[in-house]
Amino acid sequence: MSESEGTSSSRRKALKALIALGAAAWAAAVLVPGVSYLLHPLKRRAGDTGRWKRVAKLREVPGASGMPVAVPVIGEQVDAWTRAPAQRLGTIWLRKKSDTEVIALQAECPHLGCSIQLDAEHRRFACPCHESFFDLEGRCTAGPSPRGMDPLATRVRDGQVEVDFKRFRTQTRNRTSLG
Amino acid sequence: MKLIEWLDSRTGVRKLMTRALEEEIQGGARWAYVFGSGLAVVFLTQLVTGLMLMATYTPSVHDAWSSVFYIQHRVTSGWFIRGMHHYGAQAMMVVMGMHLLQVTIYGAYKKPREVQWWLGLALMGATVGLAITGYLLPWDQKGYWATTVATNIAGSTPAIGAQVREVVVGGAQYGQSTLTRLYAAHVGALPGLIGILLLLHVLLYRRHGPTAPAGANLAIKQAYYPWQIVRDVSFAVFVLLVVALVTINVGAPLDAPADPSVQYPPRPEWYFLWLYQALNLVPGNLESLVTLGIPALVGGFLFALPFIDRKPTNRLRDRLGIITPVLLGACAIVGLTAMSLNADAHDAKFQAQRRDADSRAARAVQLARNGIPPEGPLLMLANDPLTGGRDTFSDKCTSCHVMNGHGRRRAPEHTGFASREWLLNFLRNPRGERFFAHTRIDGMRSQARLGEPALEAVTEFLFAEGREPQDPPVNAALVARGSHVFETKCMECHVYRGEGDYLAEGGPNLTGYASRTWIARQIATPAAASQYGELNTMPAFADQLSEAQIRTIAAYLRLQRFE
Repeated sequence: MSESEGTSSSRRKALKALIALGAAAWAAAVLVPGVSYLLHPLKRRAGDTGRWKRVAKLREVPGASGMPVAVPVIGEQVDAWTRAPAQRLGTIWLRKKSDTEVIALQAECPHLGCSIQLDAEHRRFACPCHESFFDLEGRCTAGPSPRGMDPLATRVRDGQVEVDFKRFRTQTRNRTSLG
Repeated sequence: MKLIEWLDSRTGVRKLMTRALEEEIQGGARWAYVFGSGLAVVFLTQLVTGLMLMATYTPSVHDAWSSVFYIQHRVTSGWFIRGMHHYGAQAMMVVMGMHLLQVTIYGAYKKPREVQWWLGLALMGATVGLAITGYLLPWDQKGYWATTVATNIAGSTPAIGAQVREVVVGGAQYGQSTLTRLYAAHVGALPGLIGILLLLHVLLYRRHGPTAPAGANLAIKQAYYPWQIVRDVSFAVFVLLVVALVTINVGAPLDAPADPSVQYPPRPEWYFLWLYQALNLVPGNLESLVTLGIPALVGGFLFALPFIDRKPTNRLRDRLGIITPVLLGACAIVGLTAMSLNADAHDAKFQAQRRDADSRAARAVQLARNGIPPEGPLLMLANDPLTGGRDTFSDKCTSCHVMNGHGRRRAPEHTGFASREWLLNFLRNPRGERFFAHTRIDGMRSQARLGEPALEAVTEFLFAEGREPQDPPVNAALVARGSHVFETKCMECHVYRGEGDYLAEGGPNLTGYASRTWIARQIATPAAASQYGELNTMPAFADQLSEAQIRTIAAYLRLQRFE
C-alpha cells in the first residue's frame, strides 16, 4: 500500500482528473452514438421518385360546376422496415377544371393537419378542428390556416387521373414538401 | 458555484456527497474491489443502450426480427448501440463471475455480510434471467431455438414443470405471448428487480465496507474518493473499451428470422456452453440432474456458504475445504466450455448446418434492405427463389432430381438446368445419365448427327427462349441460325409458337422453354399435352403446392441457367 492519507495533493489532483476523464469517456462512448441514434429521423432520405398515383377515372370526377369529391390515395408505403403495397396514404379533393384537367387539393389542413371537409351548403371547404374555411379553389377565406389548401399536380393517362401525391409542412406560409 | 450553494442549502447534497466520497476504507483501496462497481457501470450502460433499443424494437413476432434488422443496418449508430448492449450483456456475465470469485476467496460472505451476500446471489439470478430473456427478443433462429431448449428444461422441473413452462411460454405453443411475456420480463420486471436489489446491496456494502484480505494492515485508511474510485473507473473504462472494440470488430450477430420448419443446430450463448456440455456427458435419463440439479446445487452451496464456513478467519490456508470446491467448479466451467467449443469445431455436420444458417441469415438481411412485407420476414424468405424456392425444391423434388450433389437420380438432373452447357449436353445425348436415362421418355434421339455448330446454335436458340429483360444479352446471330435449325430439324416432334409436331410424336411445346411460365406449367401439370403427355411419370404438383410456391420454385430453377 503505497498511497496513504499523507500523499501529496498533486497526486490527488491527478487522480481526480483521471476519474473525470473516465466518466467523460463513458459519456462519450454511450451518449454520442445515442444522440445520433435518436436523431436519426432528421436525416433526409432521398425522396421517392415516380410518386404518381392513380386515384380516379376521369369520367367519375365532378365537372367544374359540381361539388368536389374526396378520394383516398392508395399506394406503396415504406414505413421504417416495412414496404407495404396498397396502403391508404391520404385523402385528396378532386374536381375538374376543364374536360381534360383536374384540380387536386390535399385534404390535410395547412394549419395543424386535420382532415378538411366539404361544407356543400355554403360551397366551401371547412376544417373541423379550428374553423379554417377555404373556397372551392382552395383559397383560405377565414380562420387560422397560414395558407390555402395545398394543390397537387395532376395528369390524365388512359382516362385515369393520376396525382403527384405529397404532404406538406404545416404552420408555414410557404409550401414545403415533406420528404 | 452559487447554484451549488443554493442546492446545498435546500437539499444538503454536499454533506451527502462528502459522506459518500470521503468514507474510509480499512486496509486501503485495492484493485480487488473493482468488480462490483464495474458491474454497476456496465448495468447502467445496459439500461441506457436498452432504452435506446426500445425506441425502435417492436415485440411482435412479425416485426421483432425486422426491427432488429432495422436497428442494425438502417438507424444511425444502431449497430453500435446494439453491439454495446449485446456484448455488454456478455461482459456482465464475465465480470459477475470475477466478482463472485473475488468475494468468495476473500471470504466476504462471512458475518456480518450474509445478507449482502444473498442479495448478490439474487442479483446474479436476475442477471442470468436478463441474459436468457434478452436472447429471444430478436426472434431469430438462434434465440428461438435456445429459448425452446431453455423453456423445455424449465418444463422438466419435478411436479410443476409443465405449468412452469406454460406460464413462461404463455401457452402451449411458442408465439406472440412468449415474446411479449419475455419482453416484459426483460425490459420491466428484471431491471426493476435488479435496481432494488442493487440499491440494498450497495447500501449494505457502504455499511460494512469491503472485506480486506487476511493479514492486511487495517491501520491504513484511504478515502473512497479518489483512491478507490480511480481504480473503479479505470476498470469500468477498460471493460467498456473491450466491449466497444468487440462491437466495432465483430458486431452483434443476427441470425435468420425464427422459422420452426428449418433445420437448425441450436446452441446456448457461450457462457452457458459448460452446462450444455455437461448435459452431453450424462446419459439421457440423468438429464434433469444436470439441467436443474447443477444450478440448484451451485445455488444451494453458495446460499449456504455463510453457514458452512463460519470460522472468523478469512485466511485462505484455513479455508481450503471451502475454496477448493469453488476453484474446482470454476475450472470445470472453463474446461467444459473448452470441450464444447472443441467438439463443435470438429463436428462437420454442425459446421455445415451453421454455414447454412449463416448464409440464410445473410440472404435475409440482403432481402430486407429492399423493405420487408407487412406479413413479416418469413414470407419474404418464402417468396425468395434462393431461399423458399430452394427449400421447397429440396423438400419436394430431390426424391427424383439431383441438385448440387443432393437427391436421387430418377429424372433429369437440375444442377445448371437449361444453362448452355446443360442444353448442349442434352442435345448430344438426351437419354444420358444426367437426363432421361431413368424415365419412360425415350422418343428423343441424340442430335449429334447435326454437327456441333448446329447443336450450339440450337442451344443458343433454346437458351434465348427463357431469357428475361434484365438478363445478359444472347448471341443474336447464333439464335437466328439455331432458329433455322430448330424449324427444320426439331419441329417434326416439338411445337413452337403454335406450329409443329408434324409427325404427331407429342414432344413438349418448346415455346418459352425454361422460362418461369414454362417451368411453372411443368411443375403444376407435367402430364399436359404441352409437356410430356402420356410419357410423363412426374407427379402433378398443382394440388400439393400453392401457386406462389410453384412460382418461387420456377424462379429458383430459372436461375440455374446462370450456374
